[in-house]
Amino acid sequence: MPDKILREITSLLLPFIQMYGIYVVFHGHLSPGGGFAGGMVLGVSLVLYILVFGLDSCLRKIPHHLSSALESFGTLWYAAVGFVGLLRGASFLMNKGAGIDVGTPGELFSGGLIFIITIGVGVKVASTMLSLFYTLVEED
Amino acid sequence: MFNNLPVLIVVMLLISAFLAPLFVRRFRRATQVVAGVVTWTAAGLSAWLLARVVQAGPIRFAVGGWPAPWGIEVTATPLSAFVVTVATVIVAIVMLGLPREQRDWPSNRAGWYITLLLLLTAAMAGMTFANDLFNLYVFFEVTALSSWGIVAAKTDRSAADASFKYLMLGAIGSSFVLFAIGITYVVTGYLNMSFASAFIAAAQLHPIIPWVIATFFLVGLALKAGLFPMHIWLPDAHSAAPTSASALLSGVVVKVYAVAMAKVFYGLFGGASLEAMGISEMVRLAAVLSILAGSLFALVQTDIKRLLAYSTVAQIGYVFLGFGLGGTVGVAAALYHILAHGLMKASLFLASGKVIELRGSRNIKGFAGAGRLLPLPMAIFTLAALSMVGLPLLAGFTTKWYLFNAGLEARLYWVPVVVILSSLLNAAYFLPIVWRIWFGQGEAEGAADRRVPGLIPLAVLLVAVGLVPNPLLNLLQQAAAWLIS
Repeated sequence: MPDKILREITSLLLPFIQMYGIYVVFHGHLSPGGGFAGGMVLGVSLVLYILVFGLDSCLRKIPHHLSSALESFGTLWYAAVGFVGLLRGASFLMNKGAGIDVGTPGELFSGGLIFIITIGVGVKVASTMLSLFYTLVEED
Repeated sequence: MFNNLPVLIVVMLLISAFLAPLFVRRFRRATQVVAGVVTWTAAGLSAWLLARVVQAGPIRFAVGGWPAPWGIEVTATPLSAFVVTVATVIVAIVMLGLPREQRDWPSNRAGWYITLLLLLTAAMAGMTFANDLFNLYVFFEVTALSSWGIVAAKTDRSAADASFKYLMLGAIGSSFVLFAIGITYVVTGYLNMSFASAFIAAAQLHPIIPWVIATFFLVGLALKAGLFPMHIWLPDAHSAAPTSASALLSGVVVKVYAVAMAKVFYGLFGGASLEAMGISEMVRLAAVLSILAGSLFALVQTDIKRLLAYSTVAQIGYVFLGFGLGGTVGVAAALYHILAHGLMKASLFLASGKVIELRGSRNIKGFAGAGRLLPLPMAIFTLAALSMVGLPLLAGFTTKWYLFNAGLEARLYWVPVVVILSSLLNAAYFLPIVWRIWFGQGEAEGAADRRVPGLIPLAVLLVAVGLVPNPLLNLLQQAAAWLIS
């Protein structure tokens, strides 16, 4: 789509949208939002990129099989973090009880494993949005 | 470590579900083997869990160390451990046929199919172990989503239609359940079943409130389980799916919803108040209608897979009837039938899948002369069909006998009548097929490949639980007693 205004404004906005998505993912343990909402914003930014710059340019950057693999990765990341508690002698998905430093409440790097686990959720949701969009477009 | 076992079973299956699509492109055979090994491991672990739980009492486990009612609580009772063992064992046996079934599939589809099967198993286990309603609902939805996926796995028009119908009606069922959970939460302030139940017992609620909650749960879960008259999606979905999916959907998945209903009902209200509210009567009525109507519909089918699917509508009625009758005998009969029917229906679907493959049509005429073509699979088909009819010494008979007794015990004298009538109806649609298999005139050539993987273990288990039901029934009565108390 050779619409100059649309392309210029989108390329201006995209970094901010993605930054906001990452912000929401990283602040999941502090503020409303979290992995799902932030991942959604990231996924929507990629869909916006496809709508403005075309499917092929996005497929060159993130091929379909990569986004499918990232989906698996997000889930596996979550499960793997869950095992940390188990390996430390406590139970599955345990955080503070497993002796993990949870830091000062309210700071960015606090909450122990919650911070790490929401990254997995964010990756999963963002890549699922993208895969779904790819699948819908490819079926037509 | 041991307390983690219920969660580990679910997580193990989930992890392997998401590993499958990563590797299936290059290592299809290895992926299938690993999926099978994981399912067998899950089956072994749940059997071990069952043995431990029966000996040492139920396990209550708070996920992440957050105690109930705030955290997610998982309980392994004899009941849930038994149901998970049955589900994982049948899934594992049916998955033995996966390499053969997926021979001509593109690798993308093969991978996602394995993912969905493992996800389905994980979700069924999660649903059975969950002790709080929200977690139950999440796994309930995951089970439903993966069932819709595996119905559509054949990618032809009828499969897409059936899957869409299943999706729409399933969404209605889910909303009923969600509504029931919502009311429970608003009224009691708890999602954990033990806490909510204590609240309901202690608070002087208006009698309509528990009744509404129970009715919403009943409609939603019965719709998912395919109980008459909410069965209309079931014959389409179960007949359009690939053979292994039909075997699992009919043999295992619908039963897990019945178990979820029993868990929620007995967990929230208890047997006496269910009877007082008239909910038990409603369950019994729906079950009887399902038993009779399912068999009557099956009688007029010419498509073998639809016939078996309608037979599932009838057989799920037995499970609901057992739960509705209550008492240790009734619940034990329901639990026994979950295992027995799972084995029978999986064998019937796998064996008829082979005939459909050979004849290229799903018409029951294709069974003519199949006995000479595929002696062993057809012998097992006959065995499972006779067990469905309720021939003594076979597993189906034990269920019927126990339901018979439970009906007499509850002084509901129509129950034995319905059980006998249903046996006659089952005979009326299964025996003609059996006759056709062994005495019909049909082409007896063209069988290059006579093996149906997984059929022999199913048959061995079916004969074993039919011939020696007592140890199992003792265990199940213990599980039933635990559920009721």
